[in-house]
Amino acid sequence: MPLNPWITLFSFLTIILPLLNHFVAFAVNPQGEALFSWKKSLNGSTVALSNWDPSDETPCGWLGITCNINEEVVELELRYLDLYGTVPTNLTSLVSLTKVVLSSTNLTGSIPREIAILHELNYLDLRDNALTGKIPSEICNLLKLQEIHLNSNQLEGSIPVQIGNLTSLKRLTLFENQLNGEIPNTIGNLKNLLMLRAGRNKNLGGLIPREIWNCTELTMLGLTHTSVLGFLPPSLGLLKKLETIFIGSSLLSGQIPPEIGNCTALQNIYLHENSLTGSIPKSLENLKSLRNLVLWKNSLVGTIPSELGNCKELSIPLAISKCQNLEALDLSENVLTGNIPRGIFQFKKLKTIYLFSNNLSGEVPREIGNLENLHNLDLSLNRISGNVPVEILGCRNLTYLNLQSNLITGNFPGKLSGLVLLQFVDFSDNLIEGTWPLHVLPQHLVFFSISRNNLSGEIPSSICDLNFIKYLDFSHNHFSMIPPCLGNMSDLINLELRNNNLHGTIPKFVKCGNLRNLKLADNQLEGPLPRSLVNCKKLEILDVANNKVNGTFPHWLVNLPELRVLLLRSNNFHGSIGNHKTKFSLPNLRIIDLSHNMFHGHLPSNFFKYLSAMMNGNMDSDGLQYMGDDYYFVWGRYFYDFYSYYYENVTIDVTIGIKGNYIDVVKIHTRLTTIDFSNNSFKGEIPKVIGKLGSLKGLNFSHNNLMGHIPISFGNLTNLEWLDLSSNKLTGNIPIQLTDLTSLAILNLSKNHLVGLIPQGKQFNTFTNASYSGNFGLCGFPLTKTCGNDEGQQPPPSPTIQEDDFGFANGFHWKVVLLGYGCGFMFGLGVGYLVFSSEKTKCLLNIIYRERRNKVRRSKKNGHGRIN
Amino acid sequence: MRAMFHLLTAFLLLSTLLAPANANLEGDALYALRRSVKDPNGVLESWDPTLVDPCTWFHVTCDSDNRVTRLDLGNAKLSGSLVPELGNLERLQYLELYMNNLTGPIPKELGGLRSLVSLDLYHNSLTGSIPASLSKLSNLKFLRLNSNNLTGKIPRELTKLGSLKIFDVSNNDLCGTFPTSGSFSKFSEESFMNNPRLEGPELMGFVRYDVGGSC
Repeated sequence: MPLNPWITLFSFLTIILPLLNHFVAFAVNPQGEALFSWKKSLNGSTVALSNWDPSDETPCGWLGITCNINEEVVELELRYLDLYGTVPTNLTSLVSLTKVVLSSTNLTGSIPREIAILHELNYLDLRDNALTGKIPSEICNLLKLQEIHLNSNQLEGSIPVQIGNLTSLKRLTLFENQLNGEIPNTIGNLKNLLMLRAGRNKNLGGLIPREIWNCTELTMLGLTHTSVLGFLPPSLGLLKKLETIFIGSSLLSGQIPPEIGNCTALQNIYLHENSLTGSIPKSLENLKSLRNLVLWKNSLVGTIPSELGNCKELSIPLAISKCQNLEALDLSENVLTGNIPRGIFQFKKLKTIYLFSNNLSGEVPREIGNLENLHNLDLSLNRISGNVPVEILGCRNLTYLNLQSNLITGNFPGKLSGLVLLQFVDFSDNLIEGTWPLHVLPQHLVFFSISRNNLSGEIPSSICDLNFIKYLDFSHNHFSMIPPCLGNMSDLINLELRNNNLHGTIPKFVKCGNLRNLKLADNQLEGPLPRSLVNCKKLEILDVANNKVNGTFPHWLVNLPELRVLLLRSNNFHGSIGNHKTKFSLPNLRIIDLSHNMFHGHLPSNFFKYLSAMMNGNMDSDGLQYMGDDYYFVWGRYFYDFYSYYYENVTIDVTIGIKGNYIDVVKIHTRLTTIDFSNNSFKGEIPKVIGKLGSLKGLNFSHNNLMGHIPISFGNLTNLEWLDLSSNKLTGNIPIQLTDLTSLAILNLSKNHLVGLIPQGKQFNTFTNASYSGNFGLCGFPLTKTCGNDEGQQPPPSPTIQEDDFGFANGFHWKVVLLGYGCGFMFGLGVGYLVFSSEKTKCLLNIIYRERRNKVRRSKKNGHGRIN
Repeated sequence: MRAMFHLLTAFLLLSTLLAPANANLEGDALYALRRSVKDPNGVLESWDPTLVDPCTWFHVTCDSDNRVTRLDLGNAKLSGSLVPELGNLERLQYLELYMNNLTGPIPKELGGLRSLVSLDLYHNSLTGSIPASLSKLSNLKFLRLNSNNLTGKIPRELTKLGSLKIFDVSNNDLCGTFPTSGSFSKFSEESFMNNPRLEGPELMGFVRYDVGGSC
């Protein structure tokens, strides 16, 4: 049978070609073979390695490969590729390697011990991968190593003690890993070390070994965000070449040694967020090259050393050169006292001065005007007094000016509008009186607050020309008029006019598409709530509490789908809030306070049926969330020597009834859900459907004319912490199901017509007489009246409680109640309609002030968080 | 030597950390509890230590001075142990931690809760003995420790609690005899039942209180 030659050829080729192919693969020398087999092990894209061709004789022309004249591979250098593989382990043929760079190449797995055979290696860079496991101590046998970069991986374990063998080492970067243990003291053997960066290893702790100060070549020492502790020793002064010391957010304590002044090459001192004490050493004046002095959030005391400033005041060219490089001075969140040294204001390169949260006093020096480059000036939370000098208009680049919470008395001099780049101005919580030149504000303002001063007069309509303004806060002053145009500011997110002397009606809101918070509480506003508010589709908080607003319940609010907080407390609203036909849909509503009005009629079931946000009682835990967390004011801003973004949450600043006290809050937990309809004339029965509002924390229907039984469905309100149904005409028993409310801390059922045995057990063990007084048919613990056998289904807990133990005479509960009275209306005690007395207001301000301070500190922290 | 230095440094560090306190001591005490317990239902989620006081935290009630008066965490599915820091809540009146899965001992520091009216730790898995320091709680009216795994003797000092109205240590593993004098004269045997090693009331005048068989 004749062979078909084509078939024969085909058969031959099918057999031989793969062999040939194989043969080609081995055309390359063993070094190339090792590299090529590593390439084949990669799981990612190898498009970039397409010229790694095994048919080449040597790999010397391949991407990332460098050979010496003997055609031995000496460098493997690949960066920013998605290789998705491991570090090569088959290295026996690659012992000539002197440099290995595989950074940002998505490598996983551990650093292979096999690396120990690369005896010629002097440069190893595996940074920015996802490497795990320990740093193999074998690496420390590679005595020619000069640089090791392993930062930004997930390496664990400790730094090998043998690291001290690598006496040629110049740079060691290990930051952003999960290393633990201590820094080995053998590090002191590394006499050539220029750079040690091991920050962002949260569990790297222990004392900084004192041997480290033997590394006299060090220019950069970075241990930020570790747990290193102990003192900075005087021997720190031996590091004459040190340019940057970066040990922030760690556990350092003790003083900054004056010997730091011997480190004359220092440019950057970052020792923020430690527990450093004592004063800032005067010897800093020797640091001619200093650019950034960042010591925020320590416990430093004393004055800012005037020596810092004196450098410049000598007015001798030599002295000018001394400190003129300082660009950022951040001594915030310490306990510094005294004046701001004038000399600081001679450093013409200063971009940032952060001195907030200290106890600094005195006035803002006139010399501030020298700082043409200043972008950020934050002196908030100090005791700065007097006027702001007109010279500040010389700071032409100022974008951020924060003088909040000081003792500034004077009116603002001249025209702030001269500072055309200003975006953020906060003068809140000072002692400024009279009128402010509000008609001359800079055009690009995004944030403007002058709240908590003693300003009066009208808010000028020119305010409405600020086209970029998002946050406008005039609250807690004595302003008398709202310009009608405020309802036309389309970028505005937050409008705070609380607690002024505002008269007249609420203006029309036409262009308010971004408005989230409208706070008009504590004024004398009259007339109805303008229906035009339906244009503010993003409105979340509407607070008109404590005014003279009249009219019926604003049903049109159902057109505001985002509405979360509705506070109509203490106004002249009247009429019924609806009937069974009224459509209510307020799916996001969490806090509603209609108390102290003249509403009457029935409580329509419909109203409660669609409060979806209050229903989801067992929402999955999604972490701590506050209202307003989802949006920030963001604007670009210089931080120290680089540009970054600063963001700050909107403050909430509303008064909410919580457990019988009116508390002024700056943050509202997203799960805080309350209903307060107290002190109206509602009648009829309590709708059973309220039992579906499973996430409800507080319910107050006190001081109405409600009748019928307490719905059994209330037993489903397992999140309820306070329930006040006092001073109504409720009848029947207290449902035993209420004992399921194990979070209930305050119960007030007094002054009703309830009868029968008070439920026993759980939280009902903790309520006192005051919860039930004025219900003459109730019996059992804690009342003195015992139930007859007919009623007593449950015996009270043994032993029988005696009268005097829970009566008014003893009255421990009453003590609490009376303490609460100082700060607000306490329900159910016949105190009744407590008007907002001046004493109360004072007390509230106190609370506000404290919370506000806290808020500021936090937002600053956020800001700082960007630069660590 | 090195270890000594560590210790010293740690101590110094601790003291500097504690020094500027007063800011939110009560919040810190409560937060220590949060850190010490497992909270599968997230009931402590609102306990934000960065707030200036704990008065807006859920399950916490304050008086008008922003001091904590109540902690209501009954039936909250908490496990883990109590913390000594709770003893810092000097205006706390109601400590309601019943029906959880708490383990470990009752910290003796709870004796510092000088305003405490009610200590409800019943239905947990607490171990160790009843601290004698609870006898310092001069305002205490209700002490319910029933249904735990408490061992040891009932401290005789508790008879000093003049305000005590309810005392329940039933369903534990206590031993020895139980006092019958002072405020304990009111309590029936129900308060002590189901403690297999408990030998009954002390026999005043005949047997010394602290002579007990298996105790």
